[in-house]
Formats: sequence, structure tokens, C-alpha cells
Amino acid sequence: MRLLRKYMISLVVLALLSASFVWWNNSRSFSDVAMAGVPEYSNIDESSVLEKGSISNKLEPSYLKYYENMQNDGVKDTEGFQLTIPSMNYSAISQKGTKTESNLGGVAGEVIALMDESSWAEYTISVPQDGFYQFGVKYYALAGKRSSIIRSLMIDGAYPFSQSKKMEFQRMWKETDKSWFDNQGNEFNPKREEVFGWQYREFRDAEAKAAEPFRYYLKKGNHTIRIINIREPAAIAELKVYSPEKIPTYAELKKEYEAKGYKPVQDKQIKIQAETSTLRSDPTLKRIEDREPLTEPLNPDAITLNSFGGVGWRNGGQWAEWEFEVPESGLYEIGARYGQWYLNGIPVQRRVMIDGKIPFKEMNETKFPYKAEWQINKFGNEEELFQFYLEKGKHSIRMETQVAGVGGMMETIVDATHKMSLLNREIIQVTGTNPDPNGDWKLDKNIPNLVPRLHLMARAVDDVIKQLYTFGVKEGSSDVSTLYEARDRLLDMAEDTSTIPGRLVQFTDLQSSLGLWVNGLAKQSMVLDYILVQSPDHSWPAPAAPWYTRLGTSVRDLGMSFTKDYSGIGNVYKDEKVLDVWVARGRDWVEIIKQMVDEEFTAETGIKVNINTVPANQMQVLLLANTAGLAPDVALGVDGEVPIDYAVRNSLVNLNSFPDYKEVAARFRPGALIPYKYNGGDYALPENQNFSMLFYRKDIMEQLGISEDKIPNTWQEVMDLIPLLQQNGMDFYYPHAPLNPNLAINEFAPFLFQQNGEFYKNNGTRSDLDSTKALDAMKMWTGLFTNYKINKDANFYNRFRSGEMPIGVADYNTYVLLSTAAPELSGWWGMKPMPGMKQADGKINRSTGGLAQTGIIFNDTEMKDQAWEFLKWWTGADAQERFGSELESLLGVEARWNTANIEALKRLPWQQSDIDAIMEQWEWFKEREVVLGGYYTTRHIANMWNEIVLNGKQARETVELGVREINKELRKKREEFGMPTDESGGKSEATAQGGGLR
Amino acid sequence: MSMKISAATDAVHAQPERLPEVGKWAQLWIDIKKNRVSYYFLAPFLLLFTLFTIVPIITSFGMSFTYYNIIEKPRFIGFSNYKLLFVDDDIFMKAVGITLKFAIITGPIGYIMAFLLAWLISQIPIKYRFFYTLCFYTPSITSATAMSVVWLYMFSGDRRGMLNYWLIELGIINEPYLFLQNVNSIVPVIIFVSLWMSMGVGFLAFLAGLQNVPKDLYEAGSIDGIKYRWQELIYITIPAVKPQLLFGAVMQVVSALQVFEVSMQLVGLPSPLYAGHTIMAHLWDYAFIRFEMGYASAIAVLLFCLMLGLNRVIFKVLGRD
Repeated sequence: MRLLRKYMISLVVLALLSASFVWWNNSRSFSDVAMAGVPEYSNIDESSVLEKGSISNKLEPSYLKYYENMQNDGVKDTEGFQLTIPSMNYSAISQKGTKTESNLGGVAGEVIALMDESSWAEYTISVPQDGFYQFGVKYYALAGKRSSIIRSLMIDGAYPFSQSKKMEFQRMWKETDKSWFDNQGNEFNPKREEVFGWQYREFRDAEAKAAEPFRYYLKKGNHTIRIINIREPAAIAELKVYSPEKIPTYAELKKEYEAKGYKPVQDKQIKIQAETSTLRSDPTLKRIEDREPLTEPLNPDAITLNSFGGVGWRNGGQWAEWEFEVPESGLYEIGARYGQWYLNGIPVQRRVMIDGKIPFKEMNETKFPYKAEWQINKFGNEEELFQFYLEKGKHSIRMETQVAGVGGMMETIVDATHKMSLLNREIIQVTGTNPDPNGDWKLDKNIPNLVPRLHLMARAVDDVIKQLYTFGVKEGSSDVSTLYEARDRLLDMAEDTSTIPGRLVQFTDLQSSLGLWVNGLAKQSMVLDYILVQSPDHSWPAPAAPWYTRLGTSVRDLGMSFTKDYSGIGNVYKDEKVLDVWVARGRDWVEIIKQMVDEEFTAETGIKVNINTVPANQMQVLLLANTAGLAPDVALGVDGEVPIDYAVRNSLVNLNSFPDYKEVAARFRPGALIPYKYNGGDYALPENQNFSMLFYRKDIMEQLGISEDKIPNTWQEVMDLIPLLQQNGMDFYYPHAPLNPNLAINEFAPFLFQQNGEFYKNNGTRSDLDSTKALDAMKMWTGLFTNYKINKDANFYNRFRSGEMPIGVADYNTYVLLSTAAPELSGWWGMKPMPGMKQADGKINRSTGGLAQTGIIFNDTEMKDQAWEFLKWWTGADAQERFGSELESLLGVEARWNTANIEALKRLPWQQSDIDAIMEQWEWFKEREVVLGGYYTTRHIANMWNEIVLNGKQARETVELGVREINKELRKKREEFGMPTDESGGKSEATAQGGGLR
Repeated sequence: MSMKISAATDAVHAQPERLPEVGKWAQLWIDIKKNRVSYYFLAPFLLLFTLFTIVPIITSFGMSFTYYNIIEKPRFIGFSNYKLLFVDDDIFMKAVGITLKFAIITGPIGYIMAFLLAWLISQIPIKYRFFYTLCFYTPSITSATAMSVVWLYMFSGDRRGMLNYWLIELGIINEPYLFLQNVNSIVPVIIFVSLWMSMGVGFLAFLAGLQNVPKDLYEAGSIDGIKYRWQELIYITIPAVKPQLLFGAVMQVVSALQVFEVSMQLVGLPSPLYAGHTIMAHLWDYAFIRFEMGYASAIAVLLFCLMLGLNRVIFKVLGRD
């Protein structure tokens, strides 16, 4: 009794806690009957009043919708038709960009090649009946930018559905050599090289969301078909038009086999190690390491590349091929040991082809279910394992990423988010962007069919959940919870529409979480260990090692970590003549660099390289290392403002002392090299480059009556636009980084440069900020904040998504964020060069800079020429391009490499319109000078902004005060390093200008 | 960092006091030999302390008379760094002003708050004391970087920043106020955040001291006629925890003079119009932005002297017996 009293409080607390946990745990799962009370609708007009002006309405329908509509209209597959048109039989051809190739790839005769972008060839065909037809093409990829070939197909001058605008035709890649080992026993991928040859491919969905090749509906009679080059050159031998192919099912095939009397073979097993893949569609598909004890072959002491694919093998259409030898004709079973822990609970699919053909229908969409460990997929259905008839001799097996299983669901969700987005904007039209959540907006009266529309969206989401369950997703998979969440949120809103204005942010977040879900689902990664082809009597191996074996391996690895040196990456050379390179980037980045160095640079030049990582943004480390005499030969990832500090202290190599500097410098925009010039020398080469661009929401701008070509080009137009935005509760965004005063100068620079102003005069000895141009620029810049009262501090990415700031200037980071983390906006935003100022000649001066990271060579190096060789190789287009694509395939678009090398940027697989916009901006690329004591300009510009905008001081007065301080510091620093100062006489000024030192 | 420097100050001024007592070096050596076991125990600390605290202090003192840009060899330039610092560097004077303003406000308030909170917590039953201690102590061990995430959001100049949002919502202001950029609000914000973080080692020392006050003192006190807790606090508790009070005061002063990290994380370096520019910020500016190590050393020496001086004052006031 006393005990009870003593622990009373503790017991009560405990009981309460456990009760609340149980309650929380129960409420955590989602109800499957939530839709029960929702009425079924028919004939509800779901269309939005905004739909007419919306972008999506101008687009063609998606293929799945097109196909569905056509089927509903009673269109059927045609039968028995087949037509092959040699490519030279064109009816018309574009005047430019095409070429006639002869005897290509050992095939006699002439063929047509579409070389340049938007070149085309037209063919006239005649079909005997109305119905669906499929197309295929025999093509030969010609040397280009290494990315896959993209073509579009127009029928009678129009695209029947949107996917027809972008169909992918892969190149072929193989390993040139055996994999190689570094001196620590670690295995490395061999170099991949393109194989040229003829391939055949049907016209199918580039994202593989449709299981079978596209079915085009053609009416009886003549049609013109135009094939257009979207990306990369390729030759076409022939075009095939045929009635949709019918692949037999396994049951049908089995009967045929029985009729032919095929027998299973006895006691045979062929094991194909997946890493020995002979051909693949993409150089990024490669061997990877896995340390599960059963993965073959395993070397416990070093890295072994013992499996294939992984994260990189994820996009629709990516394939890999293996060759194997069959010892005896007969029936075999096929299976594969694989790991699929990438999509939580959701199976991925592959199209499995043998000898270039799908053996039977089931193999078109072979499922590889999810499990957090290795599994063996024995190809078969619920009743039996499939038996494949293989003749004695060589065969090939190919696996291609297939997304068809979830393709339809993805499309439903994308459709729902588009509807949500339109509805969102309709609501904003009623309430404004910053609504009073307590006000009664009577939304259900103001917006037609509000509740039914919300209900229908919820139902669409709920249908997808049900489809996922039938597809093989386990109930309670965390990947489905996003959908449940969205459904319940929508139902909630429909229940009480008066809460919607207070939940607008939630509504946008909902769209983006659905968008991210779709993006995640599109990544169908899978890793393969081996493929088994064996006789049915043969037993299958164990898929995964038991937990204690795995534990043992882990413990062993842990033990190893105490004795192994991980600080160097790849080949670590000791006591040899080695180039020391420090890279201020993350380990993932550095590993790729090292691998490239070992595979390409060292292999070609024989110069050995050690690479070490140093923490990013801590450049004093380099300086201190230099003091200690431990400085490397080359440093990469050095922030753009740093080289000058080393240069004045005489610790960098002047790069223009190398005879071929000019050629190397031509790889970059001339304006990009300005910051690294000092006293007639050039001390660094840029690696990447930032850019500021104008981002805008297409939908909202259109709604405001500003069409695509009216998007502001000059600051004057921006200023005319701001009042219109503000009337609508929106705003323009111009960056102002509150916590980083060092960025203020970059924000000010465009205004200065566009007036043709400069930061310094007299060869960097005096500040030029007191000139009239600079003063005008300063007034304009601060005027945005004082006269036009745009927001001084805002998160542009979030405001852009919510529509509060539909237009604004932002940089590379925003570009990456919008491309990766705002899927709900994809296609709804655009990017244009930064607004500028009209010059006397009528051109718009859009000058702006973008300082990023650089590579430098230290003076102490004993391997000056080798270091230069390395820097040349690294900043070259090939290395930059390869680095960019490897990085993107490893880390995704988030790690998109904004290389400074113009040629490489053009080759990287970015969207063409984005590259065009960036290129146009780079035409005007101009970076500010970095001079001795320049940090004072940086901080005083931040101070000027503060004084003028926040303290309301006069611009002229503030600028003059600041200039005085800057000049003082400039003089002090120059005296410190014994440089001629401005006061030391007009002479040095004259010589400087006469000598063209600038 | 703060530990080391405060320990350094102790050692530096403790040594001259002890030396005259010993008198002859020979006598000292004999004493050392006699008590060598004690010195063995002392040795590990003494060695590390010399290597990592005394040597750097001396080096930095020496370096303050040179021009040193890290890469080239230091060049002796006599007192010009100090001359420049006192005569020509307006910003240094400003930094001293800001630091002192800051120290005068956060020093005493933080000190009193730490003591009062420690006292209040020591009144709570021992079972729950740990929880409260943790709550108050955690901010001080959180790195400035981590906590700035929270405070940056609180004070964000964005319309959606926590404070701005509510001020606008309540109709107190109409457009967002840039707390972290407006010269008038920068120092108050830093003071506020520093106070929140100031329940550090001093606070723990108070707590430990308060728990070790002998119970019989209170009993004796109540017999002698103490009626209220306040009387208990003033006549018994405070005299009993005097050593901890001294320690706490030293720590407080040292940390108040060294405030920098908070300022850098919240308002950047250099802060707008130098409004949050403390001596430490000035030092950092010269050492790692302009790479003038000699000058930075001179600043460090001055800061060191300032702390030494203030600590003497504290010892005078609190350490009388």
C-alpha cells in the first residue's frame, strides 16, 4: 500500500504515456475506408476557369491518355500490315543539317543521317486501314556528345501526344579493358568506350512508362511522317511501320514447345556474373561494390567491384546486356540474384530480352520485388517457373528498365497535382496571397464545384493506393503514406472549406510532396550480382547470407578500418615523384576525380597523382599548410576570392608563363578570368561558374497578362512591373543575403557593370565608386528596396512555389532547387537572362558575374609542368563533361555540375532551353576585379546598402564616406606589399594604362 | 578556449606571488625533490598547459611586434602595431566599446541569473533536479552554429520570420523589421541570445557549491532566528559558496569578453556597419580575412591584458579572505 502511494505519480505518468503512445500508434496508420462516405460523381465539370490560359492545355495529351481516348472511341489494333521504307526514299528533307552516309557500319548502300539539331526528314506512307500502328527504326549512332539520341516524330504536321516529341535511342557502350587495381588492391572500373553499330528500336516512351511501343492512330490513306533531330547525330537505315506486334504469352509458348517436343536439359548451370556485362546503354552503368558475404566474388581486404548497376541503373530505357554460352539445346530456367532496397516496398521492373527479343509477354514486365537484402528472382509466375528454350551456342540476355507497372499511377498523380495547382491559384484569386485565415471567404460559392473537385482528387489518389496494393506493394509501406496523407488532407479540406485559406501553404506543400513521390518512383534502381541459366533439376543457391555471417563481415570490416589508411583515395603513392592535389569538396566528388585521374590522366601522361580532401570553405587551412611547408602542388575547389591573396604573397605560379595558357584560357568566358589577374599575371583557372538569371512562373505571369515575350528585359521594365505585382499581393525578388555581407557586392555588381561602370580605377589603386555611373547604379539598386519596397529578406524558393513571388533574380542554387525539389512546378517556370540596361546601340547590357571555384598551382611545387598538365586536363572539356555526368548519375540532379568550360557545358545533358538561356547570359559574363584590399570594397558596399536602405541616409553622402575608407585601405595594403600607390605619382598610372596591364 | 585562458590568467599571476616566498632557487630545487611525488602528479597537466597555453601566449606576445602575413617570414617592426591599434584604428575603438557594452550588460545579468537559477533549482527535490539542470545547461554547450538555426528563424527579416510574423499579425509593425541588419537591434539581439546561452560552467559550479553547503549551517541558522529563505540565502548560502562565486565571475568575464561566435553566426562577419563587431571579431578579421597576423597578435595581447585586469578586479572584490 505504501509502495503504491510512493510510486503513485510515476505510475500515473507511465500509464498516461503508454496510453498516448497506443493512441498515437493507432492513429498513425491510415484508414482504408476513408473514401466510403464520399459520393461518386459523374459529369462533374472538373475543369478550372484558368485552364484555358494554362500551359498544360496547350500541350498535347500524354500517351496513356491518348491511347485511352482512342480506345474509348473504338480504335483497334490493325493486323497483318508491315512496311519498310529505306531512309533514302524520303519525300522531303531539311535544307541544313542532314548528310548522306554510305557503307556505314559494314552495310552497303547510302543512308540518311540527321546531324544537327532540328534537322528533319519526311516520308510519305500509305496505310490500308484505320487503326493503331507501331513504328520502328534501324539506326546508327554517330559520334557526338556521348548522350543518348533523341528524336521526335510528327504525323501530318502534328504531334499526336507529348511523348512523341522526345523519344530516346540509346548508344552502346562497352568496357575497353579488364577492371584494374590500385596499389592497395582496390578494384576500379575499366574505361567505358562507345561501340558504333546498327541497332533496331521501336518508337517507345523515353521514360518507359508505357509497356509496349507507341501505338499511333492512322486513318486509311496517305500520311506524312517527319522524324526530327532533337539531340545528337544518328543515321537511319530504314523506317518500319507495322501493325502492333503480338507477343505470345507463356502459356501459348509452352504449348508450342510441347508440340515441338523440347525437353528440359539435365544438370547444367551457367552463372553469369553481372559485372561482366558486355554491352550497356550508358557509360554510367558500371560495376559497383557490395560487401554482402554471399556476393561473388568477394575480397574481404579491399574493394571488389562484384555487382552491377545500383543507384545509377534507374531511368526508363537504360539497358545492359550479357553474353553466355549454352552447352546443350533444351529448356532452361533463368533467374537472377539481385538487390532492390531502393524503392521502399515497391517492386521495380525490367524488360528481359533474350537474343534481342522478348521471349513471351510476361518477360516484358518482369517484377523485382522489394526487400532490404539480396534475393533471387526465379523468373516465373505463381504456378511454375518459366522454361526458356535455348539452342546450343552463344546467346545474349538484356535487361532494360521498365516503368510501365507504375507509369499509369504516376500519370494519375501528376494529373491530380496539376488540378490542385490550378485550384490553388483560383483560391488565391479569391483570397489573395496573404489571406486572413479567420475571414469567411465563402470559397464554396466563389469557386465552381469546389467540394466535388476536391473529392475527385482524393479519389484519384485513393485509386492509386489501391492499384499499388494490387501491384504488389505491402500494406503499410512508408512510400504509400505520402498518398494517404494527401488523400486525407484533401478530404479534410472538402469537409470544411472555410479552413482552406489558412492552409494554402499546406496545399502547396502537398503538391510538392506528391511531385517528389512521383520523381522518386521514376527511379527504378536495382543492383545485380549474377544471372543464372540452369536446368530445371538444378537447385537454387541461397539468396542472402544469414545474419551472423553478415555480422562477422561487418566486424571484420570494422577491424580493418583501424589498420587501413583511408585518407588518400585510389592509388596512393609513397616515396615517389607524385603530384599532390588537395580538393576542397566532399568525398563523393573527390572519389570521382581520383578515379578519372587514375583512369585517364595517369594512364595517358604517366604522371602519378595523390588526392586528398580538405574541408570546403576553409581556405585558411591551405594558407597554414603553406606556412608549414606542407602545401600541395595543386589545389582545386578554391573559392574565387582566394587566389589573389596567395598571389600577392608570391605563393602561386603565374599561369600565363606557360606557353599554351592562351589556348587554355579560351575555354572560358573572358570575363570569368578577370578576378584572377594581378599585376600582369593570371593565377587561377575557374572550375565552375555561377550565374544569376531571371526566374518566372509562366502560369502566373500569363494570368497577370504578361505573355512570354513581355517578360522584362530591362530594369526599367522590371520597375514598371513591380506595381502590378504588388497590386495583386505579389512581389518581385532581388536577392539580398542578410547574413553574408560578402554577397552584397555581387548583388550590386550587375547594376554597376550594366552602366559600364567599374569598381576600381587607376589599376586598382583607387575606388571608382564615387563616379556618376556608380552612384546611379547604387541609387538604382537601393531604390528597388526603398522606392519600390520589394522584400528585403525572403526565401525565394518557397515564395516562388507558393506564387507570392512569381518572378525574381536568383542563381544556380535556385535553379537546382527548382529543378529537383519543386516537381509540382516542372514545366511551369522559365528562366531568362537577367534584366539589363539599354545601351546607346540599342543592345541590352546584361552584364553580371558569378564567382565560383578555381584551381591553383603553388609556387613551391617541384613539378610545375606536371601540375600545369594536370590543371589543363582537369579544366578540359572532356574531363569536365565526364565529371559532370558521373556526378549527376551518382548524386542526382542535385549535384549538377555548373562547369565553367563552355564546350563542356554545351555537352552536358541539361535541357537545351536552359543551356541556351545560360549561354545568352554568359555572353555578358563579367566578373569583378579582385584587388589588394578588395575585401574593403565588399564590406563597404554592404554597409552602404545598410545606411541607405535601413538608416535612410543620402546615397551620395554614404558612397563618398565609404569610398574614402576603401581608398585608405587600398593604399595601406599596396604599401604593405610595396606596390605603387596612387599617391606615388601620376607616372605609374600612366604607364599602367599605357602598358595595358589591366 | 575560455577555460584555457582563464587558467592561464590564474597561473600567470599566481606564479609571481609564490616566487618571493621561496627565495632561493636552490631551496626551490630541494623542495621540489622532497615533494617530487606531488610534482609527478602535476606533471602531465603542467606539460600540456605549458605547451598549449603558455607557449602560444608568449609566441603571440612576441609576434605582436612583427609584421607577419603567414606566408613570408615575420619582420620585426617594434611598437608600430600597437601605435596603429591605438591611434589609427577607429574600428578597434568601436569594437572595444561594443565589447565593453556587451560585457557590462551580459556579465552581471548573466552572473546573477546563473546564481539565482542554480539556487532555485537546488530547492527542487533532487529527483527532478537533473532535468532542469539539463534544460538550462544545454544551450551553453550547443555550438553557436547549431543554435543559430533556431535564432535566425526567430529574428529573420522575412515576413515569415517568427518574431516579424507575430509583430505584423498583432499590428505592432507594418513591414518586417530587419533585426539582424539594423544597427539598433544587432547588439540587443546578440545580448539576448548570449544570455540564453550563458548558463555554462559557472552555473554548474554554483549548483555543485549549493548542494555542498553543510545542512547543519542551516539548522544552526534557524536556531539563531532565521525566518525566511532570503535570509538563509544572504547570511548562509552566499558566504558558503564564495569560492564558486569567484570562479563563476571569472568565467563570466572571460566569456563576455570573448563573445564572437554568436555574433558571427547571427549577423555575419563583418557585421553590418560594424554594429556587432567585438574585439574577437576584429581579431578574426585581421587574422583570417586580411592575414595580418602580427596585428592580430597585438589585438590578442590587448584582449589578454584586459581580461587579466578585470580578473584582478574580481579577485579584489570577491576573493578578500
